[in-house]
Amino acid sequence: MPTKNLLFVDDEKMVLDGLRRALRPMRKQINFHFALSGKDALEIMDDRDIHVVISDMRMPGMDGAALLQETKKRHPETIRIVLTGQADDDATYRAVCVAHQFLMKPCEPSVLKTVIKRACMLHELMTHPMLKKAVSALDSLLSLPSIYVQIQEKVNDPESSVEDIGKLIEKDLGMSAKVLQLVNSAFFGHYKKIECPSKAVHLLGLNVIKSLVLTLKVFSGYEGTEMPPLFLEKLWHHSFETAIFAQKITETLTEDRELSDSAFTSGLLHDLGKLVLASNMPSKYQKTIQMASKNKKELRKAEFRVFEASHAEIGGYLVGIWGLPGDVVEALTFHHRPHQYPGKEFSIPAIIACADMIAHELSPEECIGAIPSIQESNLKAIDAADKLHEWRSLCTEIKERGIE
Amino acid sequence: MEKIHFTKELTDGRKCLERCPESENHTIDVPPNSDSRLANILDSIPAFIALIDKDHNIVHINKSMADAFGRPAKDLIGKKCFELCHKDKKIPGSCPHRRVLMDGYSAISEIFEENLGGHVEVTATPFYSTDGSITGSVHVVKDIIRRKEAERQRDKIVNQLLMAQKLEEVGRLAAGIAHEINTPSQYVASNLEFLSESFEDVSNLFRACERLLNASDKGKIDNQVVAMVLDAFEEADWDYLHDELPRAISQAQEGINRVTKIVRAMKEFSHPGPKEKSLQDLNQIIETTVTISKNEWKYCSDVHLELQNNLPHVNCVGDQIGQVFLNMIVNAAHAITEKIGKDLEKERGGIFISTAKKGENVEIVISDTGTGIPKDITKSIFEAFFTTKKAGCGTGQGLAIAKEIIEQNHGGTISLSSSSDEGTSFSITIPINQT
Repeated sequence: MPTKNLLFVDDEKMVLDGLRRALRPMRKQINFHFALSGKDALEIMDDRDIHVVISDMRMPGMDGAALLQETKKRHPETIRIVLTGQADDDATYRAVCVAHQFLMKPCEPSVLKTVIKRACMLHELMTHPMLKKAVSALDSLLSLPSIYVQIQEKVNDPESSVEDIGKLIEKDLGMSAKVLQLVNSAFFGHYKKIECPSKAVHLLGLNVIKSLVLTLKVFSGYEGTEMPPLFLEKLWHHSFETAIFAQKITETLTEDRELSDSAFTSGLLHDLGKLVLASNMPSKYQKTIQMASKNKKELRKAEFRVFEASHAEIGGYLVGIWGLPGDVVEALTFHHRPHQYPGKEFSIPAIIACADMIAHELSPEECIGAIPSIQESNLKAIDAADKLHEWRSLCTEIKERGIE
Repeated sequence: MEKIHFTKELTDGRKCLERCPESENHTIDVPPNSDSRLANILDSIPAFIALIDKDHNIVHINKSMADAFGRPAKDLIGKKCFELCHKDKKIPGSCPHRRVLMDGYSAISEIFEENLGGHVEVTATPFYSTDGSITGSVHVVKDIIRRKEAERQRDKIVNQLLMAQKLEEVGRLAAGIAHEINTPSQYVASNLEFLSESFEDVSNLFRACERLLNASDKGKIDNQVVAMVLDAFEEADWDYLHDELPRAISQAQEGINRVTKIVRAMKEFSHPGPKEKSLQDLNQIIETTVTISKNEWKYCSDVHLELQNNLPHVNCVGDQIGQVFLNMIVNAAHAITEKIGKDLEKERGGIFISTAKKGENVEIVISDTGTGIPKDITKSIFEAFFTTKKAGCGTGQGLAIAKEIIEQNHGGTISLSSSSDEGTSFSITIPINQT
């Protein structure tokens, strides 16, 4: 991996000195830069490509939120991370829209190293510069109009409970991804990894959700997009179905509740990359879809042609820079090539691959282009070939009973 | 709480009594509890009434008072009043009778005496002989338990209000204090990580040196061994470590000191100290308050302290005084923030706090370079619920409470000494020995 440039911004010199020393063992892979103010930071970023910026929140003059906002405008491809000592602060809320991840001071050096390594690796993996820019600069993800309207009504209704709102958000890809991003950031104070959207809503609480929906507008309806409404509706339906299938399949394999939660979330988000493309580059993506339909090809292959990456990598990249748990990132990235999944243990990517395929088989009208297929030999490698038949009948049964 | 009242009415009343033909017969020699009408009248009054002579002997005692001691009045005549009432061989310092004998004026004392039923007000009115000389005094003892209770309730409510305001202040500061702790913790953690990594490097270096010594013992130092040691030096980057290790250690120590300082200040500030006055070092209270409010001012201003050395300790409730200082500092910081805003080009503001002994008082002056207070509202700033801050940023209680604490509770003064576009200056004086 070529050396990456990482910039730390903090008004406290001793914080920077400490980081410089603690991260010294990484100096061969990463060039560290340090700035004492937002103004200095912007100068450094104008001078050279900074791949990752990690900024303090409260600084005299330009604060962290303002700096990251400006960074997003000038250098959209840069991964933006907040490292704050502030327990609660309006400024941090402002940063919700511009920061990819939130870290809390004091941050253990080992955690910081992991975050940095991961950010640099993701930056490296996403080769297409345009796409990198598009994903990092993403403002909000499209929500399904019906869910978007409902959620607005719900948060305005003083009678509604966290459970109601959680159930709604769980049905929406973009909202689910966003609440998981927030709940997994140390700023909101949950140090355990949370993978279930409704649990995330519960932990964030009604007030945070309200400000996300009403004030910060991190979710958006899809007025003005060129994407056909039907596309989004199909995508939602398929995502939710895959989530349920993946969860039920996992339950037949293990009693570990965390794994089945993780399978649900990974299933729900597995096509998040499609949403990113539809949200950010609708006309180009429209053409890609038409190309796949006309040639009866798998959509991901058409995506590769146009964007040099498929929705799998794009989705993985987004949840990666958002700091979602590693297994979700991997599940998204590898759900079309589970045999390449480097993890040896329980393979959520393989389960997602199967659930995805079964869902498409059961509703072929929802699939664009050819149904993604998995080669038997690849399934063998992950010890799933003989189970596929069993899973097919399980999912058919679930679908017949009706999914809710 | 002793007050001496010269009451015209009482003196007039005495003259009136003298003119009354009945009273002519009842001088100090009046036989005890005679059947006279006057004695009957006195006995029917529910208050405690006694006539005491110059030597503190009881000459007459009404029935209510005798009943209070559970004995017939005649048994009590001739007893020393302080022995009876206070079960004491000495005359108490609060004795109004003694004051009457000294200066000839009526005297009132509020005392707590369980034998008399708790909180009572004793009025001693001079009693004259026919030649006009004072031969004793008439004691009237009034039960003031209700009034005392009401006063206690008021004090309780005021204390609760002060406590509530203080908790609110602490709550508001909590996020800032967390920041002040989290920041040094970050560099303590980073430096410790560095020290632990460096220890590995240094260990490897020492192992190489050991081998060199072994080789030397055997007299077999060759180029290979020397090269290995040089490599180890290179690998460990010894020059860098030599410079950085001491810095890492001193910065980690500095971080721990910062955390310790703020935690200690926080404890001092929020620990409910004695509710009663005691001798306090105002300079130290100011330093503590400046420390815990650091996150409020450090982004906009510096704090300059000019605290007089050997400032006499002041008899005050430290807790409350700290609360006043905190209010003043936070106000100053807000005024400066409002003035300089987020403008980087503008210079940082300043908060200046000085203390000095001025006669029997200590004067504290708190000035800032903030927005100043507009002329038309200077009169209202000490009123409760008056605020110019945005909703949610202040309840308008700070200065009202400061005034209550300084003036009502400590007998001092607090005033706006100057205010202009250049800033604001408040002056507080507190009597050193106020009780």
